[in-house]
Amino acid sequence: MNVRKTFLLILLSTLISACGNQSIVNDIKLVQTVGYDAVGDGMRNASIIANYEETGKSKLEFYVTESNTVYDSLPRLQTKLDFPIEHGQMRMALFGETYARRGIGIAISTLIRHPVISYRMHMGVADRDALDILNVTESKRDPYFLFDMIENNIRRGNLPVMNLHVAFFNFFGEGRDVFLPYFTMERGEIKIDGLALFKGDKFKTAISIRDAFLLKMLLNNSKNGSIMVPIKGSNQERADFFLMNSLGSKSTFKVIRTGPPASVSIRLKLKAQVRDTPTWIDLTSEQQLASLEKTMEAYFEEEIQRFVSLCKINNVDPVGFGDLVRSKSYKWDARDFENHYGALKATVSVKVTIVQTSAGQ
Amino acid sequence: MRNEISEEYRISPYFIIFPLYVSMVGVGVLTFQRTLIEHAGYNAWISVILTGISIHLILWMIYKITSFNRVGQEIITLNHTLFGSVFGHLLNAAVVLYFVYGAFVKFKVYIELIEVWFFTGMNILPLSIVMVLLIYYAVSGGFRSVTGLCVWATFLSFASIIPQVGLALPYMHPLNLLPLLNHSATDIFLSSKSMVFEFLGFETLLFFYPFIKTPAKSQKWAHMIVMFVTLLYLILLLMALMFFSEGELRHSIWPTIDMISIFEVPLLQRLEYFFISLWFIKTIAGICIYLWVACRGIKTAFRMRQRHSLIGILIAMVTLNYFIADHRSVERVSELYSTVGFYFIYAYIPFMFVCVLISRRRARHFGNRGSA
Repeated sequence: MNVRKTFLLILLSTLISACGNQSIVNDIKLVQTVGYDAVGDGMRNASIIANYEETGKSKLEFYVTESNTVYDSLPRLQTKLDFPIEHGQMRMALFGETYARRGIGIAISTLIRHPVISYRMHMGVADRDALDILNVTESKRDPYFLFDMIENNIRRGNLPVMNLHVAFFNFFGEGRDVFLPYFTMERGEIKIDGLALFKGDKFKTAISIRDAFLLKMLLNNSKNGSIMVPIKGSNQERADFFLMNSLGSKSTFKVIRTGPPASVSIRLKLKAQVRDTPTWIDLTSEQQLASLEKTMEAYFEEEIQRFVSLCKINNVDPVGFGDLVRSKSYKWDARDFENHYGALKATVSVKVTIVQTSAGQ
Repeated sequence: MRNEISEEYRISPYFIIFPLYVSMVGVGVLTFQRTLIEHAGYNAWISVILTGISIHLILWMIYKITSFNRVGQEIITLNHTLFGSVFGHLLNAAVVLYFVYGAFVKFKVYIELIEVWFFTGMNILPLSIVMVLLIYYAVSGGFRSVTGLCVWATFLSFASIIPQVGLALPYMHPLNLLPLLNHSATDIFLSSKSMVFEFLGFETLLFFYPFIKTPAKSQKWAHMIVMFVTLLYLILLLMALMFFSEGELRHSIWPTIDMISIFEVPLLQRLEYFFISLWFIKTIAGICIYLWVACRGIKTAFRMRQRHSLIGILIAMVTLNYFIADHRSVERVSELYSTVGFYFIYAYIPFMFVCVLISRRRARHFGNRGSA
C-alpha cells in the first residue's frame, strides 16, 4: 500500500511539472522599453526588444507601429515579429510631449490591467517625440538605459521616489496628481531635466531638477539630493553659490484649517552636508556655520513657497495637499477643493542642521 | 447511527488550528480588500473587527451545539435526532451540498487565478485533473492526512504573508486611514456582510468535532485561531488601505498580489509568481477539508462509502469547472456561495443552537419530572 502511494505521489509530481508552458529566451520577444507618440489622430508605438544572441551581448531591435489606439499596438507589433511577444520584462514607458499633453489615461489603464507588468516599472515624458529619445538609447546597447537612469537619480539624485505604483497611487487617488521624470536631449545625450507635472491624465507643466529636489524633500527623505544655494556676503554685489548635499530630511504636514480655503503648515527638518563653499566662508567657525544654516533655512522657506504657488498657478497638486486636507475633514469633495486650491495658504518652516563639512581645510 | 471514532483516527485538541486556519483563509485573502471597501470605503477595517467578533459568537454556539450530549456530536446525527427522518435527511442533503459547493468555489477561484496570472491560454482540463487526483489522494487518507496537509499549508502561507508585512512598510501612507469615521453605520454593516465570506469555512468544525481527542479542550484553540485570522485580515486590509489610494484599490482585482509585486529580491524578480505557486498547497488543503467533510456527511447520513461519493464529487467538479469559464460566472458562483454561507452561519447555526437549547431544557424538564 505504501509503495503504491509513494509511486502515485511521484507520478503526480511529474504531471505537475508538465503543466508549464516553456518559453526560452531566444524564442520569445521580450519588450523592454516602449515609447508612445501622438501622430495625427492616432499614435505611434515604438518597442525596444533586446536580441540575446550570445551571452553578455545584446543587440537592440526597434519596432515602430502606428495605430489608432494603444489597444491596437500589440497585434500590429505581432505582425512584424517572428516570435511571440512577452511583456513581463517591460521596465520603461516613455511618452512623447504631444502624446502626454493629449492624455496618458488610456495607456495607464492598459498597464494596470496587465498582470505581468511589474509595479516597479517607470514611466517618463520626453520634451519631444519619444522615438527621438529612444533612438539614442540604441547606441547605448542597453534596453534598460532609461530605467536605470531614473533608478540612479532616485537613489543618488534629486528625483523623488517613483515607479508605476506611485504613479497609479497619484493618478487614481483623489487630491493628488501624477508627476513623472522629464527627459530632454543635450549634445546628443539624454538628460533628466526635472519633472513633468500632470493634471488628471494630461501633462501640464515641467519643473526643473532643482524644483524636483524641493518636491523630493516634501514627499520623502531627500537623502543624496543636492542643490546650489545662493549666498551673499555683507559687501558683495553678486551672490555666490555653495553646494548643499542632503543627508536626510523629514517633512511634517499639519492642517491648520480645512477651509475652504484650506491652510496647511509644512515643517521640514534637513540634515545637510556642505563641502564646497566660496572662499570667504570659514567652515570651521561655529558662528559662520550657524549663519550658513540660517541662510539655507530662509532660502528653502522661500523656495518651497515659490514651488507651492507654482503648483497653484498651474492647478496641479503633486504634493497631495488635497489628500492631506481630505484626511482631516469629515466631508471632502475633490472638485470643491480644486476650486479653492488657488487660495490655499501654506506656512513653511525649515530647520537645517549642517552635519558634515569638508575633510580638508 | 452513532459510531465511536477510534483513538487512532483522532487529532490532538491544539491541532484543530490547522484545519480551521486552512478552511477559513482561502484565495479570498488575495482579493478581499477590494470588495470590502465597496461600501465602507477606507473605514472598512471596522467591519473586519465587527465580523470577527460575530464569528467568535457563532463559534461559541457551535461548541454548545456539538457538546449537546457528552459524546462529541456532529451536525448530521443531530439533524437526524432533532428533526426526524424526513426533514433530517433533507437538511443533511442541503448541508452536504453546501460544503461540496464551497469546495468547488475554492477550486474554481484558484484555477481562475492561475489562468489570469500564469497561463492565459492554457487548457485547464489537465491542470484540474491533476489537482483532483491530488485531492483524491489526500482525502482518501482520512482526516489525519488532511490535517497533515493543512499543517504544511499553514506554514507555507505564513511564509508568504510575514515577509510581506515587513517589505511593504516603506510604501505606507498612514494618512489614507483618516478621517476615522466618515461612513454611516449601514455602510459599515454592509461591508461586514461581505467580510463574512472570508471567514466561511470554520463551520467545518461541525463535522470534525468528534475527531478531536478531548473536544472541550479545543475550544480555546478554536477561539485563538479565529482571533488570529481576524488579526491577519485586519493587517492585510490596513496594509492595502495604506499602500493603495482609494481609487487605485478599486481598480485592483488582486490587491495582495499587487502589493507583493512591488518587491524584488535577488534571483527572484517577481515574487508574486512564487507566492501564487505556494498557494497551490494551501488551496488543495482547503478543498480537501471541505470534501472530507462532505463525504463524511454523506457517509453518516446516507450510508454511502466515502470513496464512492468522493469520486462522484470530484468528477462533477472537473466537469462543472470546464463549463463555468468566464470571470462573470465565477463571480456569480462565488457570490451565491457567500450569500448561502451567510445564511448558513447567521441563520442555520443560531437556529440549531436554539433547537438544541430547547431540546436540552425539555430533556431536563422531563428528567426532573421523572425523578420527582
